[in-house]
Parts: sequence; C-alpha cells; structure tokens
Amino acid sequence: MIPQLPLALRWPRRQRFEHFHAGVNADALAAVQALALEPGAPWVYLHGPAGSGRTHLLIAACQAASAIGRRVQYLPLASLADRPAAIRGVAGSELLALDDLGAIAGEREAEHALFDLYNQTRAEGGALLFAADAIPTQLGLGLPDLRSRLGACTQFALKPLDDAERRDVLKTQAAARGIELDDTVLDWLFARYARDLGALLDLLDKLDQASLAAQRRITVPFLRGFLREAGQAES
Amino acid sequence: MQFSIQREALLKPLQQVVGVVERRQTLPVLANLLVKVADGKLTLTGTDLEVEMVASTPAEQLADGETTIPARKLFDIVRALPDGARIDLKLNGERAALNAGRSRFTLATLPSSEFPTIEEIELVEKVSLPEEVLRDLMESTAFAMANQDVRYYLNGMLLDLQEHSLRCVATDGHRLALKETQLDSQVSTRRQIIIPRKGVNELVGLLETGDGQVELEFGRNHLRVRRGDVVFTSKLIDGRFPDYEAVIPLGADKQANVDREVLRGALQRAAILSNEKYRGVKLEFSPSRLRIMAHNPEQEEAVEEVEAETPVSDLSVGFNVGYLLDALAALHGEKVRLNLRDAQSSCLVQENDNDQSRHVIMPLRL
Repeated sequence: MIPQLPLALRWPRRQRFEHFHAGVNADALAAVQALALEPGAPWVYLHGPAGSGRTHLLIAACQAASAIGRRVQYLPLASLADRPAAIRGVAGSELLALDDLGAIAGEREAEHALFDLYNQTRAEGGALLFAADAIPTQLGLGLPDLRSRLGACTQFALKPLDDAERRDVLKTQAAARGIELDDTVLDWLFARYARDLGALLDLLDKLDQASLAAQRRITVPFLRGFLREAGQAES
Repeated sequence: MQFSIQREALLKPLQQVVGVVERRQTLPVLANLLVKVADGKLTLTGTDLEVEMVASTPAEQLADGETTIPARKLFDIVRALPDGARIDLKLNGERAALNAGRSRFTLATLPSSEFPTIEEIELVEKVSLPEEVLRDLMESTAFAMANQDVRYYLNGMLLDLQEHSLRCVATDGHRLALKETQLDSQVSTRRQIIIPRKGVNELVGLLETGDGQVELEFGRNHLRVRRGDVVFTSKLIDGRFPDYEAVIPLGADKQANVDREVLRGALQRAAILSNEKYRGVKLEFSPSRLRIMAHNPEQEEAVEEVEAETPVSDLSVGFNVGYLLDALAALHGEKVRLNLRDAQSSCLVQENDNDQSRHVIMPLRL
C-alpha cells in the first residue's frame, strides 16, 4: 500500500447531453432532449439496468433546461430520507426529473404524493421525467392510478452500452482527466472486471486517486495491485 | 548586419536568451539565436517553440539586418573573451565574423526567415505588478509543480487572475502551494492559465529583485511578460487545472502556532533518520508542545521537541518531511500556523498572521 495520501483533486462527472454516448439509445436521448427543451413535449419514462445511463440523461436534461432559463429539480429518490416531503416540496418546477422511482414502491404516502405531483404538474403545464429499473407495472407500486399515469408516459428501455462502447467512454473520461488507459490495460480490465459503466467510472475515480498518490502511470501491474488491495480482484 | 559592443553588455542579454535553447533540437535553426539589428538597437531571440525569450540592448556602429547564429557557441565565445573586450560582429554572406582584439571567429549562420517567432498572442487581459512580487509569487510555489506526471496540466503553474488578485498555484497531487497578491487594477473576467514547467523555470530565472514593474499579458494561447529590456513568451498548457480551492481545508479546526525557524531546524534534523523512500516523520501534538519523530528500517530513531502555542492534544499525524520543509522555506513570517483535523486529512500551513501564502499537505499513513 502507498502510504502517501493524495489531495482530493476531483473532477465532477460531467453528465451532459454532449457527453452521453447514445449507441442504441438514440431514440431515448432524442425524446429526453425534446422534453428538456420544448414545452409540451411528451413526458418520458426511462427504464433499464444500472449503468444504462438513466441518471446521466436526467441530470443532462435538468442542466440543458436550466441553461435556457427553465426552473428545474432533480430528485434522486433512493437517497432521500423523507421521500413524501421531498416529493411534495418540488411542485411548481417547469421540469422535474425523478430518479430511482422504484424506491417509493410500497411506500403508501410517497406514492400518493407522487400521484398528486403528477396531476398538479399536468395542470400547471410542467414536465416530468422518470427513471427506474423496470416498467411501471413491474415496479411493485401499490397505487393502481399511479401505475396507469406512469404508463401513459412515453417509455424507453435503455440498453447498457456494449464492451466496445464502454471502452470508448472510459477512454474519453480518462483522457479528460489527463490520464491514459491504453488498450492493454483496457483488455485486462474488461477480461477480469465485468461491471456496468457506472461502476467502471467509479473505478476510474479511484484509480485516478491511486495513481496520483503513487505518482505512477496506470499500467496492468498497477491496476492488478490496486484491485487486489481493494479486495475486488476477480479470479 | 553589423554591430559593435562591449563584452559585458552583450553577455547579459545572451545569458537571458541562451537558457531557452535546448541542447537537442527538432529543427537545426532552433540551436541558433536570431540576431537582429534594427531601430537603433541589437535584439537577440532564443526559442524552443514553447518558450521564447527576446532581449535587446543598445550597441554601436549599427548596420540593420538579421541572421541566426549558433547560440551555445556564440555564448561560450563571448563568455571566454577577456573582461572589457570590444566585440565586432558582421555578417559576410552566409558567415558571421566575430572579432575581438586579436581573436577572430567565423560562425556558420542560417537564414533568419527559417527562425520561428511568436508575434501576435491575441491579448485578452493585461496586468502590471512589481517584478519582485511576481518573482516571490512564482518562487514560493514553483517547487510544488509535478514533474512528468501523466496529467500534463499538473506539470506547470496555474496563474489565476480574478478581480483585484493574482494567484500562483502549483500541485503534484500530494501537496499544493498557493500564493496571492493584490493588484492595483481590477480585471472584469476571471482568467486561469497554466504555464508549462520550463516556462516557469525560465521566468523565475529571469525575474530579479528590485522595484521595477513587469507587464503580464494573458493571450488566448500564450503568456507574455514584458520588462524593459526583455520579452518572455510561453505557450500555455491546454487543459483545465483541478478545482484547487476545493482542497484547501476549511474544517481544519486544530491549530498550532510554531516558530518557523525552530520547526525547520527540528524537521531537518529528524529528516536524517527518516525512511529514504517516503521520508515519513510523525508529528505528535499535545498542549504547548509538538513532538517530531522519525525512524528508518535500521531502527535508528530521532525525537525532537518544539514549543507550540496549541490547545490540541492526542493528535498524531505523519507527513513526508520534504513537503513540510518546502512549505516552511516558502513562508517568510517568524511564526507559522499548522491547521489540522485528523490523521487522514490535509494540513494547511501558513504564516500565523496572514493567508497570502498557503500550503496544503496530505498526510502519510504511518
């Protein structure tokens, strides 16, 4: 282990439309862009597995809408403590992005709050954008009316990027930080560390810090040592 | 082209520009200096395509013209001539003839049209400050620049210009050095530029103590520094410097004030017995006292105690002693203040009565 601790020189992950690698998800990207920028565009419901770009699209939509002067709110439901209060508190925005919708499944009060928010936003001419890991009928929501409301949104199934595309994203993100991930390193990584893009980008964050502490390039031996220490090396 | 000049009058501008010329070049003409006589003066230019230095001086018996002459050879000849020698240099066709007393040299030249110079820098902002201040700002931070880090933007120094202040910032990822000064003028838009390591070193070498002013010109891709006789221009590193303000600790509420020289001496002695690779020393704080300990793989041990104005107790943090010594050398005051939180968080070192110069150092796990 390197005893020297590095400074926390961080690069906020830039979740913007122009950094979204659409691949097979081009239709979803177009619909979310329309929702962010054009009043009256159909509401969008995104579903897909972890690492398929749900959060990225939601944050990008908020950023783009905010840039043209619309009032926006992003609500990561899974990480909020008092979800009913949070949902009631966001009414009145022009674009509302609700992430991790599955988190409120079975929470009666939160489901009712969201149902009210839906109706109120519809009445006020605002826009809602949802993301979850499954379609509305499979989320385990207790309130049938909420299920049908959500079902009325335009739905898109986000598909994770394939290996080649994830490699590209990882390379681009690394280059933006000024570090290089060459093909040997990527081959090694993808052969042993099969993870979704979110986890790979988290790994990149940690590798960046570790290489800063060690003042070394990211090579296969460095990566191997890092993963072994992190206890995450896969056999 | 022709001029006549006293040896010493030529030696100074030669010294200023010759440092820029690399020992190995990609283009033959980069081994040469551009030598130009025009507007009643002699001008010398050296470049490596990244950093350009232009120095001018009055001379006599001038005949306008320009050529390029091997930099190192010209410098070595002028330096080796006796004090007070008068040097006459004249371009004869493709050769330059240098005569001084009973010495005669004929040097090869390359046409000046092949010599790359940086003319326009697309000026976006301009500030003026005392030369001595700029020198102090850069000297107090340059040591913290990274050297050959893959993150190219760390191999340089950030100049951060905003409102009434100019800050120099450098970091290698383990520690960060910052020094700021107030400007007489105000800038409307914040400007952040990164000067490459070589440019920083050349500029520090050029700047002198004295109360003259220098002009800093921020260009779209260049920084230009003008001082009466010399114009320095450096390309910038095209990249974004990390958000350095985010690593300056705010929650470091445990403070200790220590005599700077006493602490420096104690650290220098303890360093002798620290591990050669990581140079770790342990700082143990207890009320009114700071204990410094070091040991190495041979089980040799050093213990130093210094007085400290501090209420902190039961705090023990490891550091690379080199980073602490660099910071203490860059500070000027009699007393320094160490601001800490715990053994995993960064330490802020500054003078105890002002924060113009700040040093953030990350601990070592001990």
